[in-house]
Amino acid sequence: MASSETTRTTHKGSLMKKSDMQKRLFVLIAVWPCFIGYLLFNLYPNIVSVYYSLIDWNGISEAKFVGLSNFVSMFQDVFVWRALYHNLILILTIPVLTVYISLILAYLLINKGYLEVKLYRILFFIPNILAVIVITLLWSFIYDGSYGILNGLLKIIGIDMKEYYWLGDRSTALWALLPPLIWSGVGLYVVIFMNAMKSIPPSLYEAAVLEGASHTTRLFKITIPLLSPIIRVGVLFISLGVFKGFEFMLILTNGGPSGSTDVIGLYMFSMAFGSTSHNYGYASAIGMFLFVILIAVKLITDRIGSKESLEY
Amino acid sequence: MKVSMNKALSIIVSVVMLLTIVIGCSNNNEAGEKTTAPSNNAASSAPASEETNVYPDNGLSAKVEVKLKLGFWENGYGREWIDNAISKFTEKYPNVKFDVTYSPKIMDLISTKIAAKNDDDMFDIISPAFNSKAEKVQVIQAGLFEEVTDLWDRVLPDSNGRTFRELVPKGTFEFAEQYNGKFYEIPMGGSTVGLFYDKALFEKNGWNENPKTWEEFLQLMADIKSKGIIPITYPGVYPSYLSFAFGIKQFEIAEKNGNLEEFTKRFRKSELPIYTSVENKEIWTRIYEMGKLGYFPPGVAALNHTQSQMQLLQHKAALGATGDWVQNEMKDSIPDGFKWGYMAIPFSSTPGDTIWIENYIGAGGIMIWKNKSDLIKNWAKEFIVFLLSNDIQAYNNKSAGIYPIRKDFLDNPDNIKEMQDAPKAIMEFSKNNNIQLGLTSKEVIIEGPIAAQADKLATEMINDAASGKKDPLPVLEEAEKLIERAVKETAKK
Repeated sequence: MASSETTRTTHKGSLMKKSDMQKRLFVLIAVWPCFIGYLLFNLYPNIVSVYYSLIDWNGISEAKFVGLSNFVSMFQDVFVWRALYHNLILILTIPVLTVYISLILAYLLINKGYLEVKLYRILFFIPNILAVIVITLLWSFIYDGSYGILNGLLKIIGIDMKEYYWLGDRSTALWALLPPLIWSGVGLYVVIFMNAMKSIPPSLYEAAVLEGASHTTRLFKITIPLLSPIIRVGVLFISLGVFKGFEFMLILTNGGPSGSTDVIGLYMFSMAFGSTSHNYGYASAIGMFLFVILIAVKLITDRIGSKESLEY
Repeated sequence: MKVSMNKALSIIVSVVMLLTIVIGCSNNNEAGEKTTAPSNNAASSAPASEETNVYPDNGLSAKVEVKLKLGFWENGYGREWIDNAISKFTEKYPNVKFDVTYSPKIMDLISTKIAAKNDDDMFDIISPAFNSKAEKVQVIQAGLFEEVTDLWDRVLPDSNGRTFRELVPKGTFEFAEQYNGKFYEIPMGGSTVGLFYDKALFEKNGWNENPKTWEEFLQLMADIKSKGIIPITYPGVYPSYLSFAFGIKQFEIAEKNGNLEEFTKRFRKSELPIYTSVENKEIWTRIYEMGKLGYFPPGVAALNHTQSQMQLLQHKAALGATGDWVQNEMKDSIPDGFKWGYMAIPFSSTPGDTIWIENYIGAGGIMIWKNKSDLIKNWAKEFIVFLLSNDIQAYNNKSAGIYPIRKDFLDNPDNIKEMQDAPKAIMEFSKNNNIQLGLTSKEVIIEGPIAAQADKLATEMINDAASGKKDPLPVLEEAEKLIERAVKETAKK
């Protein structure tokens, strides 16, 4: 009897081992294609970029090692600093406004009990499923001086902008980029925040209502503090996107007028693949600099957000 | 049983995922690019000699099968014309087949293939499309493309014994794109740029369709402006489009000043001064003056291609700085009654002086990758020669609006009858004026980050000058200082 139990235990142990091995094998099979893809198409190019930043190479010529020369040129390049200044303006506005608008919308949709919640959710999310080219073309026509809807609406309320091209003037072009950039990002965060809000126990709100808390108090004293980890991640993603992204500028303004909407990503792109420059080494040096900036943004975002995570 | 089913399912899913990745990574056709092989109807093949099995017109074997990989730039002229040319060519030479990759961004693919340095993977022949002028100069200087200078001296089958060089208009050979006297592509069509307009609008307003002097041109601008219409539009998001109207005028000024030869050499070799040359400064001074008078669209920096073209089609603007592909490019949007006209800006004050026209002299030209077999290169050259036959030129003109490169094309009244309006307008302008075709290509490009900054500075100034907001001369001085630094840096290396 004892021997049969020992055999059963041994058999069970070997089955467990086998199952464990199979599990590991499955994980390996499932993960390694993606991991290889990550190594090949993500990590390797990034590591190679470090080498590229130290060479003078246009994709055709023999690569020539130039040491830190590309970095020296970059730090002396006024266009780099101008582009970063534009990025700074965008990073101070876009994450804050996107998160703020998303939070308000999500809160209203969750708490106001509108019948059309599902419809609104789809409507807000639509920009996220539209291609960038569609969004930019749409906004280029909104801002058009002759036929644009913006000038039309302003005229209805008595402000005649005549044939003012919002993207054609240095003083307004960068600011005119904010609405499309925010509009295209809000929907995603509305959905994220809505789902996060749903997970907050209703009892907290019920208690607050009994205490006489208004909507604003509930939003700022209960909802936002409890969502702070998600908000922090949201701000981080948007901030990184602001620094890396340049598609809107490329299509809407190509960095103009007179470089007033040039951002660091676009400048890097134009140095590598522009109509007049094909300097992979220099573009990679800018890319390395951007990499350092992105790490700094991550660290700053971590510091700004509250370290304490509230639980319920 | 359930467990093993799950296991089996997991393994199947993993294998499918793996295979998907492997297949995805090993696909030879570039994602997003359409690759087709035009049909090879041997309807009227050139009879090969039965004894030797060679085509008598070119001495190439009719038995050896060959496939030419063509990277084709699908631009404003479309793709119909090249499909027709390939179809006719393969009818004539049934042993030749084509594998064409069409793309409006073929230059990206070409650049990547060049950088990969894999001759087998590289196209055999390409449209001369590159991401920048600098890139083209670099690939040619690196010796990556086959020289085709000898084709100028080929006697074309339908030319009564005349060589191609004898068949092209004056100045074509001299101004076709060349590097140290060598050619790497042969011009197949005109590709003329300048100012295009609606003749009907001009006729209705009684505007001068052929100003002979700069003063007459300015008067035309004032006449248009007085009607509340923008005189000249261009897509300011890509400000270099303005050079379609003004770029070649540097040569016109140089000729007027009696230093055309010296200027041409300096320009082609990128010798200093570049931005502050007398010729360049003169052009920008005039553009700035026009800008101050409001002759370009307000908010031009925000106009993309579509918006700028809409201004032209809807008569919000009278003239557009563009190329002869415009008619084909906009064929689906052109309103009824719109009839294309063309003019080049006269920079002289004396009627009858030469008016320079920028002509890219190479639309549809083909470049041959050097490291290919002789068989491929020989057939590629035959295809280039084939593109020069008047039958093909007629079809190209009719279907795509490509301006014919041969003088004798116009000897046939049927050809003229079937010409598209835009190229016909160029022909009329050329007939009524003392014109000179020219090209603003360079044989040497100054490279590097500092040179790129100089270029950026000058490019960013274009819209400001055209809006009359910024005096271009100080910017040109600044750009010149940068380019001087770039030259010094290059010399140090």
